[in-house]
Amino acid sequence: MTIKLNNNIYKKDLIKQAIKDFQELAQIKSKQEGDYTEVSFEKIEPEYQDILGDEFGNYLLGLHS
Amino acid sequence: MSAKKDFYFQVNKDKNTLEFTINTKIYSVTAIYQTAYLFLDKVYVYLDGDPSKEIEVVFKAKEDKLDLEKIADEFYNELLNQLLREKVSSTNAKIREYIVSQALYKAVPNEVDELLKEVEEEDWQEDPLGIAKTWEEQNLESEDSNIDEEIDQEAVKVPIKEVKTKKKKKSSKTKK
Repeated sequence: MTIKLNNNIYKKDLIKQAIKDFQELAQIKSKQEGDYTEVSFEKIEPEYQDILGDEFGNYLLGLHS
Repeated sequence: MSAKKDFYFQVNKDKNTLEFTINTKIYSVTAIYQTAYLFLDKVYVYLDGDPSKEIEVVFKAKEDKLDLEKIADEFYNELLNQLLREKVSSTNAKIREYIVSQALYKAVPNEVDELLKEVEEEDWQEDPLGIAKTWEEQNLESEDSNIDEEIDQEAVKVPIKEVKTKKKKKSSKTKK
């Protein structure tokens, strides 16, 4: 599972913080692609398989508020 | 096909998503963040685009039967509310800071006021440290008190004859 986050909208330090907060639930990697940060999720906990990326996005948005 | 406006919604029924754009010349990015936060319990929210021009918003329903268009309408209403709050907050910022600083100032005891209060409560005529007394007054008082003590005490009176005999004995011893 991979999500792309616009660096003009989602701050890089908050992306790092969210990755740190979610690391117990999956193996999370990030890389820069132009104006976007690509966040990939591997070895996701089975119960969160379908929703982890979406929940991550919402959590990240919550950090911005 | 309707023309694309600020409130044009693009629905994808297969993915259960809804997309629309927000003009950031009208609605601030901060207001968009605040508004999106309020809808996180109903939908998954993704943001994209150029903050200096327009933000693209994607809603993904958490539940299958959710009316995404209705939620988007509510989103726009809330966006107006957040925008107003932001403007009122910026207008009243100085007044708010003043009120908070006044409240904090009154909550903390003023040391100067407390010292003044202590001084006012003291009776200056008592003069507990004797500051108002002159040197003579202080020393004469102390000498008088010593004399009084001597008179009060029973003095050991040595007769004059005994004193003289004692002196003679001492002088004879030294010659030898």
